[in-house]
Amino acid sequence: MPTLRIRIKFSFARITGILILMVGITALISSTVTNSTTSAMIGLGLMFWGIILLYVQTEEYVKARALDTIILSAPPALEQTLKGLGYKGKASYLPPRYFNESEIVKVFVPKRRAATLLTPEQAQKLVQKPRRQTAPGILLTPPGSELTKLFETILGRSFAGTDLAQLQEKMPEILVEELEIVSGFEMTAEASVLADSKKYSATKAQADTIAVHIKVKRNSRPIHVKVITSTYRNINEEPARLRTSSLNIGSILTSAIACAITKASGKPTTIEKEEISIDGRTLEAKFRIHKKELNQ
Amino acid sequence: MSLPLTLWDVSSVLAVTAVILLVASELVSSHYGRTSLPINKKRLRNAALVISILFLIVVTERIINIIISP
Repeated sequence: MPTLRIRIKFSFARITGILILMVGITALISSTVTNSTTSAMIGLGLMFWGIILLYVQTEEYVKARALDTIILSAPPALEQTLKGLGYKGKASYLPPRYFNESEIVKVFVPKRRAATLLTPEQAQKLVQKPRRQTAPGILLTPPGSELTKLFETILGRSFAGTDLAQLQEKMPEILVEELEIVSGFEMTAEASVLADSKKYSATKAQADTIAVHIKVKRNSRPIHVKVITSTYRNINEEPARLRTSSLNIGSILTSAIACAITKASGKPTTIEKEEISIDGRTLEAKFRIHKKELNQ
Repeated sequence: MSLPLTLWDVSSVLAVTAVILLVASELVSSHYGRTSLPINKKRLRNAALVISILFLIVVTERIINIIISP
């Protein structure tokens, strides 16, 4: 019969904290007997530091090697499956309004290389009848959808209720300060892209200038994202090595950012370019928000 | 048998601890992109703030004593 072995692990910080606390309490008690102020001061100081060490613990973590091994097999498998099924077009992220849902973002991968985006009606039809022979492509759950949900949990609300200006402001907080998976995050977009998003508050004069600017813009607008990462390095390295992707679904992090942009803008988004440095530290991606459904 | 400590002693210990914790909390903050330290930075910041507030309470108490005392 197999036996369950449980090892209780005490971290170095925890043992040190307990020791310091015990020495502090002993010194404090002994000071009352010896009436020594020095002993009392030392005891009080040690007691404080013991409590602080016990309170400020290391965060829960998973070893990067283990995490990489678990995650890395999924994106290549997806790519291979899609290619095996004959999908050759560029993937595009479709916003929730395409599916009459408030939270769902899906990736549409067209069959033909020169295919265009879906209309909301076509997307809904594809959801209802996903027949592979006649369908123009396939709808998938993006690889970064769960990561986007985590971003939203940290943010405390859905990206669908925000706009691109807020996304630009909040993403560094989520990725750098809260999740600490990247050490630097930069999202640059043209002023018109931010202004066109749903809840942008601008003065009337600003809004007029922006409106004129938007009119002369083309149907799609780019957003550049630069991510500097150390903890996420290995995961980024793998897609760089397996750069066979012509489907533009993106790595997990890029896919999650694409989902967030799609939700915030409420418009179809494509990953135009994804560049990962050789050491995997820097990830640069260019997203394009499509103002209209392309085959309209 | 009583604790040979005055409020002044406690406040000086609190002051030193608060300064160390506040500086440490700022130095390791992930706001500056330092994400490789596996320490719970929120808890460190909370501890720094609590100790600082305790010190300020002691200081306030001393000031009130000085004002009230004839």
